[in-house]
Amino acid sequence: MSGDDRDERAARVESVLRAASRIADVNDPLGMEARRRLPGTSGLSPEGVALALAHHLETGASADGLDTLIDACPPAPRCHVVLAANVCTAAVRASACAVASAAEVFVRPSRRDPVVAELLARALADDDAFTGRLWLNDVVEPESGEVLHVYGRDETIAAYRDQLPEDVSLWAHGTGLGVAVVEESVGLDSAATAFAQDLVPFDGRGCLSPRLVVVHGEMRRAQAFAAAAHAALTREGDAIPRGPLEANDAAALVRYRDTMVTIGEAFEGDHHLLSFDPAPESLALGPALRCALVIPATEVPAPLRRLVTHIAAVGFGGEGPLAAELAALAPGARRSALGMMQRPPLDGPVDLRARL
Amino acid sequence: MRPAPAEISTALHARVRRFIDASMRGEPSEAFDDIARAIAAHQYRSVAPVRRLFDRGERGEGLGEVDRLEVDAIPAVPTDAFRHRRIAAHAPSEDERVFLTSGTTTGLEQRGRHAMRETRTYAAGALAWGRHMLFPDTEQLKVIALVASEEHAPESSLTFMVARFAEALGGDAGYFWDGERLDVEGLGDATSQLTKPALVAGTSFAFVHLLDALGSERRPLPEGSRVMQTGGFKGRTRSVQADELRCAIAELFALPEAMVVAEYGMTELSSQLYQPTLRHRVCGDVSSETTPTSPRGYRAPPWLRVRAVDPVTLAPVAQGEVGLARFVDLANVDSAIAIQTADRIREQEDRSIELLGRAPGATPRGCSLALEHLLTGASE
Repeated sequence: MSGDDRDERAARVESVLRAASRIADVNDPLGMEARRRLPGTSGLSPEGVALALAHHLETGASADGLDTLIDACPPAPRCHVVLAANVCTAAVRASACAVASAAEVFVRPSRRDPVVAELLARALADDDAFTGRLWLNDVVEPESGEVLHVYGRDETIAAYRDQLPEDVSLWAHGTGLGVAVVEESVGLDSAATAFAQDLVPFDGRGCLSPRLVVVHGEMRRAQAFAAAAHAALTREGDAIPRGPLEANDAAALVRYRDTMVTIGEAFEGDHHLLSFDPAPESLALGPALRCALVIPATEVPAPLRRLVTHIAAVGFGGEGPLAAELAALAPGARRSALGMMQRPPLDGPVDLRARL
Repeated sequence: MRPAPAEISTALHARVRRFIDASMRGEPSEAFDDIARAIAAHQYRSVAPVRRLFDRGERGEGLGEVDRLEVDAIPAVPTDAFRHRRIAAHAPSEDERVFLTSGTTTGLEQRGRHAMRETRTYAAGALAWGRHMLFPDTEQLKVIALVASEEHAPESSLTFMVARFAEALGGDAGYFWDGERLDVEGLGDATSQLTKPALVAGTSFAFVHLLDALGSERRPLPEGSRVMQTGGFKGRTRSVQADELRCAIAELFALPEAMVVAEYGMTELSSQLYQPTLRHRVCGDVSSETTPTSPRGYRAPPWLRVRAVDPVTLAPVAQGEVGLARFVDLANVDSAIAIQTADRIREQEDRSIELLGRAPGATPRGCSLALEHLLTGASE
């Protein structure tokens, strides 16, 4: 591959990041439009949207990160992207990966939440420096030798896989689970604050969002962490309320709350539900609505071992044997410090488990 | 001095069985609410998860109030809790049986467990209501079971019930499902040799399997035969609408549709509900209790109270409105008398219960793993 070609691909990624910067900018018309429309499509509160755009939308990449991204996305004649009702900012990274592969990109936005994809396409169309083309398209018809990225649930991915010509490369971006580990070496209050900063963005609905917190040590330490995290989530929730709950969501939360009251403890706030299981026989995970389960452990518990292939992200609160064991069991998971789980560097797809 | 929990349990079982007997004979019995409160107090003392739910402060406020609690206010244990904890008033060493929820094809789920210190009450209730709704007209039926035998599936409450039915109906039973495969040939032989009426009992999935295997073939059963079909299709590859399935089963066995009776039960309960079509047909029973003004309505026995509750407040909804099924089951002596399910129901004017399927979980958004999909064990 020539250096020029690589430079062109990097330049197209930079264009996507410039477009994203406009969406992140509260004073840019695109940024204003995003803040106006996303509360109605993303399920997030206006404050949650503002947080996502200001702190979790990728607007830059390090030189190393860009290199890694270019390496991760092999060139192709054209690239197609199917977006899901994913976290609302996901279109940016997905588009960056797509333009790194091909100058011509076709994006099928989520019907439920097309906002960022639409704004991105408009920003790129306005950018004279963008050497590629990015079209929004309802029809997904990749041809021989092209690449298709599908974001969504397993069933959606399988449906596309079944229809594809053999020589189309499918990159499947399925669902995943975030796990936080609180080692004995860290203070509970600081770990709780960092954890809350990981759970609040996107209301805990992302594949990087921590749905489970494993606290190294005895039951009382985990319980103390849960209480500290409840306080931290309450503070965060005052500033960043959870998005409005649909009837199904509210009912699912009530069911989960009563289940956890029965088997352990439920720490319910206006905008979160944290649960604690002192002696887990299984993982009583809650719905992805700013919910997380806290458990004590001195080694990776058996029920979690059965789910390791689903772990997309691990947030480490300190170093120790539990963290090391989990890292070894889930080598494909994205690793970060607790508090940084929702700010992965732009170095390719967010989910490192799947590769072409 | 207060009696030991085992003595209390034994005494409560006896009270429940007396209630079952008396109510089926139409004789005066102890009040449902009195027995329910006594069982709730027993569980508050001896079942730690139940006590946690009672004590959380919003509703139950300790044993003093449990004794005076309105039955509709007894905190209901969600069925999910049975997947994560043993809900029992006794030690595992005292288990007579432990019934498990069925597994899904993912194999990742934690199966729910319902530990039984004494199955006599379960058997008494199942038989009494089975006799009322499923075989009120006869004491002799060959049982053709599309469920595994007790030897192969001692953890199945459905198998336990079918085995008790077989014992009560003369003891002649054949089992044609081994948990994975249906013995279509053996079942064909058994049905072709029948000279007297039979009860064919099985899960909806097993019947679909049978229908698929037989195609257009028919297996006519002697007049007076009947079918009990139960359960859904969770985790299975093919599902069929209830009406369509009932019609197909009736056609397969050359039976009137009324003789195909749907049963509703779940591992977390000790009592069952049935559609009243058979009783109406064979007994000509047109009392308000069993008249099928709503063919899809299910009838609960007198020792099982069913309420539709609001999914968020958990307060009872008005008759005719859709809510989640909340059960108070007197036969759940040693676990949780009040059970909250995620099954949507509507209580009809004739007091029958219309089943409307499982409530959906949280609206899927984002890319976080839908663990409900992986982890929810299916109840029978």
